[in-house]
This record gives sequence, C-alpha cells and structure tokens, in this order.
Amino acid sequence: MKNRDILLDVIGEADEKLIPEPCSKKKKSRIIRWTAIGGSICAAVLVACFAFSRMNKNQEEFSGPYGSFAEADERETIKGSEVIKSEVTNGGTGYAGYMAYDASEFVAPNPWKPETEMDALPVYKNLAYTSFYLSEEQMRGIAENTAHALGVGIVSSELSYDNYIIPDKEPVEQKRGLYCINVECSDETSIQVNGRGEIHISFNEKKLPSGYSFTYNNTTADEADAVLEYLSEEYADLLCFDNPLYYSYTHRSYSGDESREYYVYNKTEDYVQDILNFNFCYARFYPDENGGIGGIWLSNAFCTSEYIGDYPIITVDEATEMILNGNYYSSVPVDYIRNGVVSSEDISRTELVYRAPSKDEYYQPYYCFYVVLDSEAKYEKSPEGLNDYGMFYVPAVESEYLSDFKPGHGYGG
Amino acid sequence: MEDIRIIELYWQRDETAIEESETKYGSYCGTIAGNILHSKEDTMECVNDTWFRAWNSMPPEKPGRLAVFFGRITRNLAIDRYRKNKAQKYGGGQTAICLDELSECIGEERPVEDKIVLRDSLNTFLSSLSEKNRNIFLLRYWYMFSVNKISEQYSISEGAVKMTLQRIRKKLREYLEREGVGI
Repeated sequence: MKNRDILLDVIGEADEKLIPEPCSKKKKSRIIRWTAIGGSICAAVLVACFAFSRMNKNQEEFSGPYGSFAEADERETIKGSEVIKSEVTNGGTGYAGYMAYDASEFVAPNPWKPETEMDALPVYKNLAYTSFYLSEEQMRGIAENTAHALGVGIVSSELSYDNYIIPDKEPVEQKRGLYCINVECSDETSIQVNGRGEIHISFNEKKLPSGYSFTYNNTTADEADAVLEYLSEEYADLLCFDNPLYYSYTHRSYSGDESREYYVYNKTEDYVQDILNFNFCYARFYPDENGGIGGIWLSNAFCTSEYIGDYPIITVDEATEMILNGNYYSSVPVDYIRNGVVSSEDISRTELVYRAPSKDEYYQPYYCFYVVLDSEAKYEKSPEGLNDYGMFYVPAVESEYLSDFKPGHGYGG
Repeated sequence: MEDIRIIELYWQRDETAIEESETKYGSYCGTIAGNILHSKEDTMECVNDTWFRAWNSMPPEKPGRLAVFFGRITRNLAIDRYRKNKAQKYGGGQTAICLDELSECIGEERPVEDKIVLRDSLNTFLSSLSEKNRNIFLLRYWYMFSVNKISEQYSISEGAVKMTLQRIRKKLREYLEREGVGI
C-alpha cells in the first residue's frame, strides 16, 4: 500500500473530537447588515458608505461586524473643492511619540512608498468630530454582529454615557451623549462598541494552541508572524478581510522594555485603497498576562466618515521643507526639540498617514516625521542609547485648500 | 432518539438499534459513502454494512460521538470498496482526487511503518490548525466532500478553498518531515 493510502486511512482515525459536523447548506443568519443608500452609485458612494440610517434586519449573508461598509472600495473619485481645516487634535497630556533604540524598531509596513508619485488623495469628513455619532441602535447592531461572528450569545447589555459636570454651587452631572454599549456574552467575552465605531472585544482566559508565543515583551518577530497568521485565520469571520496582511512592531518604555503590537489589515491590489485600509480599517490583537488572547480592537473609521473628494497633495520633499521651516503640527514641547528647531539630521523616518480614528475634523493625509528629541530632556533613568522620537505632522493636502495652515506663518510647537 | 439511548439498544442486543441508527444517521453515512464511491448501489450497501459492523462492535465499544463512530465505519467500508472497485477499473468519486492531493503531503521513498506514530502526529498537526482550516481539511479528506460543496458551506470561492487546502497540505508535509514520518 502506498503511503498516501496509509495517510488516507490514518486521517480516518483522527481524534473524533476534531471531526466537524458535515457540510450542510449554510443557514442564512438573521443578522443586521448595514445597507447602502440606494439610488445611483454616485450618490450612494458619496454619502453612503457611511449612512447607517437604513439599517435593516433582512436575512442576508453575514459580512462582518460592520456589514457592507468594511471598505470604501466603491468610492467614485471626485475632485475636492471644499476648503478644509487641517489642525490635528492632541490627547490630554504628554506628547505623541515613540521610544526606541533605533527608529527601525517601530517600523510598521505602511503601504505608502515615498518613491510612488501621487497627485491627489481622498479626504473624509469626520462625522464623529463633535459627538460619538452612532446611535444606540447602530452600536447595538455592530455588537450583535460581533457576537455573531464570534459565535457567542449575548447575555446582557448596558449603555454608557459621556458625562460632564456643570460647575455650580451644587455641581450637576449631565449626560452629554451616548458613549458606548457594553455587551456581556455567554462565554464571558465582553464587547464594547463606541460611537466612533470602534469595537473592543475582551476575552476571559482565551488560550492559544500550544507552540505559540504571544506576549508584549518576549515574542520575536517570527513568532509574532506565526501567532498573527493563526489569529487571522481563527477570527476570519470577524475580520472579514479577503486578504489579511498582518504585521507587528515594537516600541519601548522609558526603562527600555520592549512592547510588541500586533496588527492586521486588508491588503488589496489598489495602492490608494491599501493606504486607506492600513489607516482606517484594521484589527489589533493583544495578549493577556498568561500568553493567551486578551482581546481585539477593531477599528473602521469608514463607518463614521464621509468622502468629500480627492485633494491635490504636496511631495514629501515639499513637506520636509515645511517642517524644517517650522511649519508643522506637533504636541512635542519646543524645549524637547534639539536647539528648539527641527533639523534634517533629527528626522529619522517619514511616512504618510491618516489620523483615523481621531477627533480631527477631517481625515486627511499628513506626512508624519519622526524626530529624535533632545536626549537631555528624556527621563533620567532611561538606559543609554534609548531615543525618544516625537511625531510631527505636515498636512499633505496643498495649502490653498486649507483654511488654517499657511506655510510661512510658523506653526511649530 | 438520543445517541445514548441508541447505544443502550446495541448493548441490550435490541435489533431496533439498527432501525434507529438508520433513521438518525442513514443520510449522514450515505453522504460519506456517496462522496467516496459515487455509486448509489455501493453507497446503500456500505451504509447497511455500517450498522452490522456497529452491531459487532457494541459491546464492548461505547462511542463518544456516535455520528463520528458510524461515519468512520462507513468511511473505512467505502474506501475498502473503492480500492476493490479500482482494482476492477470502476470509477471512484472524490477519492481518487483526494488521494492525488494527499500525495503532496507524504513521500513514497520510505514506507510508513508505524501508523500509530503517523496518527499521533496527524492529531497534533490538526490541533494546531485554526478551527476553520481544520474543518476544511477534514471535510475534504475525512468526509471527502467536493471543493465546491465546501466552498458553499463557508460562502467562499472554490479558489479560496483550494488555496487553503494547498497551504495546509504544504504545512502537513513540512510537519511530517520534521517529525520524520513519510519522507
């Protein structure tokens, strides 16, 4: 008997616990799917990609937590004409940056390539700019879809509101708006969906098969690739990426400890679409303290934004000239910059990014410069050789389309 | 009828066990045999033989998953019949294609001497796969469903199923080579 015949027989002896139920015609699931606004393709694409108002509960094939809006790949190109704001929003405290011994440590495979010439790129209006945008019904729909993709039932749900205090003699707490929905599932998985369409799945002691290393600080790049390949396959129904591309990178804490990040996004054949997917629509996996799967963050800023057109962009050389002339946005304090001025020697890395999701009014392309900061300013207990890289943004859209960024006026600091 | 009750009937030597097995699992076992043999007559014979083989096995056996227990008997009977038919130049449904595909996973230079080692290695390998990939592999090579049928099950293209199977076969070959099984 040939070995292949023996293998065929041995497959028949496989552990019965592993044998799946046989094929049956897949039942169409009764789940929520976001439906594009009807009418012409043009109209649908313009507003649409992101219109949740016509959500329905038809019996349709499952297409992921976000339904049919996982990608804005049917965008019909129009020329941007509206003048837009380019100011970037910052977090509450601190400044944006990475710590690493070398800038190459935190390299994520940004699909943008400086050598590829582009005349224009899409710009989106951030519909969640002033509020959390999605309604309770819409968030609940995403949560239900997420639970469905995970194959778990929902046990309970709770709404959280964005509260603020009205200062008065007797301070009053007011609900500013709906912030998120929290869902508890049958296997103790928690799902949170917020008004920006971000999904946070938190698992309870979710183990990985043996042989995988999934940690923040004790996993090599190859091991990270292996675990990401497994996770991409295991959660394929959740991600709904036709061609998942996974990557990891590390950054460091003040003490030099490594921290690895694990990401997946959907690779396409289209260069611009890849740039958009990389920035707008991705999943981040994170480990728990025992090397299991702590949870997943899913982000899809397409859901809460509206395409307003393709805008002409400047080149990376033009952007570099701007930053060297002090025209940029950054949360880095001026006294952290060597000699108070960004110099070409201090620019360690440049990439084109969209800051999504964020509280910026528009999702637009920026050239992001990683600038090595003054070593005198860093935390005194940091090990020798550990550098602090601050992030500096120069809008990529030509300045004539920007209402608040005029080169030469000095925006640094 | 619940599986546990059917098993009890076999243990009590109650012939209604066969009737209940046929009612509950006749279609399931028929699908497996049909995938392998593509012959209605041969399929019916295999399924009927399954109950009698089960009758001779219980007692002493107490199956954990009755469906898989019956399915495995049917599969073995159908493959035996396939080999017999092949020797007599009959057709063979999906089995010939599956065998060709499986030849990518294992070499023929050195005969497999220890089936238990191969089985243990295979179980370890299958356990390391994602659930979806493992199911696709076993739907193909345990149940011998067509690629088209599997693609319908998962609402993915046939090309995606073939690609997945090809990747798993390659991984399995690499794994078996590392384990020193089938060079």
